[in-house]
Amino acid sequence: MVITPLLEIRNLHVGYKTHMGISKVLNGVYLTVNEGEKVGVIGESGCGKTTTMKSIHRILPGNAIVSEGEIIFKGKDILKMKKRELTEIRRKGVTMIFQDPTAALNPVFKVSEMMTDIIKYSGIYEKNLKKEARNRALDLFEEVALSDPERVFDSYSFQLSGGMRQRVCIAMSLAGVKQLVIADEPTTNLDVTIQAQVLSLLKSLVNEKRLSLILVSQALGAVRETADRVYVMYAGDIVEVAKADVLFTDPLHPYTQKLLDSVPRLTGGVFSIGIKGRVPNYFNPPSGCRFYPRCDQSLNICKDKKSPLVEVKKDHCVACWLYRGVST
Amino acid sequence: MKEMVNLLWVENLKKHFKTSYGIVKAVDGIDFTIKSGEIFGLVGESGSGKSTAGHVIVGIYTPTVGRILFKDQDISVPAIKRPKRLKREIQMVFQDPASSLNPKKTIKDIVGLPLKVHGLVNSKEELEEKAAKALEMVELPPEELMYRHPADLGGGEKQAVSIARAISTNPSFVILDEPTSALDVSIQAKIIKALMKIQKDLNLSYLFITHDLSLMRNVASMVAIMYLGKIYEQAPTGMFFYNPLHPYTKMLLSSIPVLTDEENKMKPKKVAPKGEIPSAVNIPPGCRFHTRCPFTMDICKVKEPNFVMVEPGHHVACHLYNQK
Repeated sequence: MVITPLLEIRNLHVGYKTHMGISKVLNGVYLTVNEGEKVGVIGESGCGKTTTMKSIHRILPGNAIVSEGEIIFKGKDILKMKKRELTEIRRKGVTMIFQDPTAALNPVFKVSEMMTDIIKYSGIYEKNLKKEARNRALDLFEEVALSDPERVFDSYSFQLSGGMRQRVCIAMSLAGVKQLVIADEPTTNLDVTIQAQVLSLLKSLVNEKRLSLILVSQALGAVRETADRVYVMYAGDIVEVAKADVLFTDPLHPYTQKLLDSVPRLTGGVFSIGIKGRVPNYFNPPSGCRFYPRCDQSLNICKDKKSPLVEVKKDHCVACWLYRGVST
Repeated sequence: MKEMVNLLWVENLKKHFKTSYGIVKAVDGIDFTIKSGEIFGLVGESGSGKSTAGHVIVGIYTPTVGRILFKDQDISVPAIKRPKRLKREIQMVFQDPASSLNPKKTIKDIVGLPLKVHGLVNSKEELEEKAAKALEMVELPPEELMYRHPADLGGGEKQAVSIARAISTNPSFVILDEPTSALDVSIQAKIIKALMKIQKDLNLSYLFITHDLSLMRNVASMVAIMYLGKIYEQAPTGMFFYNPLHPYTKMLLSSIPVLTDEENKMKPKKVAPKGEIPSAVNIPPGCRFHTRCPFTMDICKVKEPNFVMVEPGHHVACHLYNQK
């Protein structure tokens, strides 16, 4: 039996038009999410992780240009959808939790107003909207383990703490009936104790409701503990894909190896020197493999040609010439 | 081997702020000493008062109560009354390099300012030379960067510039307030490497403030953990991580998401984190952590635990260990 994936991104190219020219950020991204799967996306900041996620919802800023590619959600291409269909996807298909809960919540509205709006928009109740919405909101708050849901419901976002705000955002994203949750760095601004609480909550909600999850994060440990499969992104390319436990024990791409080495370990030991240089300038990105200027093991071919993403071991794909039998 | 002498004493340090909703007790009675050449780590969640403690020591705030002795001299006075010589010796690196560098100045001006303020240079050429030397120490190419502005640099390079500024006056003590929390891990590794090298070369002492315990494991020689303005556990790094005692330390350690199985084995048995740090205006009575602690006893709610030594060098403030 062939499993059709819930979401499939194929060869996505996205750039931004600016006064300095076009910055070519996404350089052919491939990403699939199967039903009920938890997928992690890791990479440095400025690698195009958020751009990829925003293009799934088609909420890219006005200067963005999607020049190539397909985003297939349940057999239909999101990029070619009419506004009406797109609204359906946003209401009932894909939901997103943003990085900064402080910026995601509007400070001039009460949580109650925002929750009611979202519940209204998700279209699950038609009669008695106000009363139903309140009950539904309070149920959701219970689900996300907010203490004192009544008080939260009647507060403004600035009266809540960071952890509570993110819980409210998670409650909002789960208000309707959804199939895919995109969590874009949901715990970056939170303390470790709160991060652990939010992640375990997210994980249990996703499992319970049989949703799929894309977790984007720079906290590599958090991804390891949450995701089933992990995509490593560098400068707009997917450079490695593998099951979470495999990726973290046996990384193949030089970028993944260096990135994992850079993380300080609890066990102590030798500190790595990090990765030389920084993420390339997207106005004039290196031709060929975008990582080669920072790579210690680069070959001649890397300069001119980008390696496609190929399966080198079972379920372990990597985009690097080192594994293609190319000799120096 | 050179004997370690005490460089900084902090005694019953308190810093309270008056606000419209009450008195915020950001730092509420902390004691510690930092030896010369030591890296002293201060960890805690946001809101625990660790940054305020750093700010008080460098002189941004005047302590409400308590004494700070630096090289046997009392510096718990308003910054303006501190001897300039001591100000030169205590420098600070701030968390966010984007907001701690003046965008209108060139890198040379930024790194050179402390040199000018402390009268360490007599001519323009000397200033340039010394600024270049400081930049070289953090592995930045001076000839390329001297006349550029902070906006032209990446996050890691900006932070390196602020480190260069801190070490340009040849200090003996540097406060690092979350120096890498705004950076990517790949850049963080580079900055930490540079900091460690400078520390060895110049025999500096650091007060390293961070919320990242895995990072702390790799840099500090002594670790203290702060919660709501008080230090709850303090130990040499090895002891702190292999035998954490306080429930709060255990909770923090068990919440860290890690990358390898060896690290997982090292973490204390899962202490499920619950709740959030209370506001510093309404501090819970008794042990401040009792509202979130899985081992709360009756005594915790009324009596504040003493800071006692459990094994040599390992201090903890918890009623679980007070009874013995």
